Amino acid sequence: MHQQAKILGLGFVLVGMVATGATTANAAEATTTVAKPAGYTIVTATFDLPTGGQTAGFVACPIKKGVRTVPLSGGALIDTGSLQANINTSYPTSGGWEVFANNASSAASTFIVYAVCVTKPAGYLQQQSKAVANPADTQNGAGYTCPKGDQLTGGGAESSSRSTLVNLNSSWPSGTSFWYVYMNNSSSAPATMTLYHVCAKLNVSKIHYQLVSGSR
Amino acid sequence: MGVACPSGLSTIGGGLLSGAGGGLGVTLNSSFPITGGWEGDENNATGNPANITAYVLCAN
Repeated sequence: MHQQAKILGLGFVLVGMVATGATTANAAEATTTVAKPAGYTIVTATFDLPTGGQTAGFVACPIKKGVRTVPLSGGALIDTGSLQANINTSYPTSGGWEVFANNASSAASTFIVYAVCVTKPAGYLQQQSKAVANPADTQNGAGYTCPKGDQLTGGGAESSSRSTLVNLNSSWPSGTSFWYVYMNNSSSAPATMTLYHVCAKLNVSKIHYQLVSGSR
Repeated sequence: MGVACPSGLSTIGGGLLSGAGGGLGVTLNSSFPITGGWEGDENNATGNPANITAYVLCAN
């Protein structure tokens, strides 16, 4: 039985929490004001996703007060329920977020690329790892840690393969300084993946910063 | 399923983990920020159930 585990639009859960320099918060708090980092914006761009291939999409962070804001994180939404549409690559660039989306299905679709952008914070750092092997017919995992004392804001991975049989399985913040990725390679050709993370020296004695997770 | 930031905080990052990797038949369809949280979508073509964990990094 094939199924797509839809976790979109079914409401929020608040299960686990790792706090760094933050007070504990919960869903019952009645705070009406949301304080945002300076220059905060979530930007999007929509792209056609033709059948039978892989398509690149990029969204740029906006210019505010004459200076381009920088990406803290990003991602993509593929607008199809097909099991054969997925994300091959999702990673930060200096001024935005880049995604390669696969569509091996017989129906054309669209996808939206997202970036969370802010005014460049203190100690802002984007880094990429050395290429990590992603052998044929294998799922491979690897992690990438921020410099000591930095806080993680986002991350991702870039595959060397343009095959629709190479795709992300998981890409997530596995702690407040460590990004981890599982990459599938169902093709018959070896590939590599490059990990990315975005880190900053957030003043956690003055701001709230925390990682929240929920499972089902 | 999505995961929400505590009240008063904004989404700065996030992602999805398919439990125990999930095998080659489990693929990331979507993973993206929303106002006050993170949402996503995993494909499972394995025939076996897999759990998903969504993560969001929050700050103000």
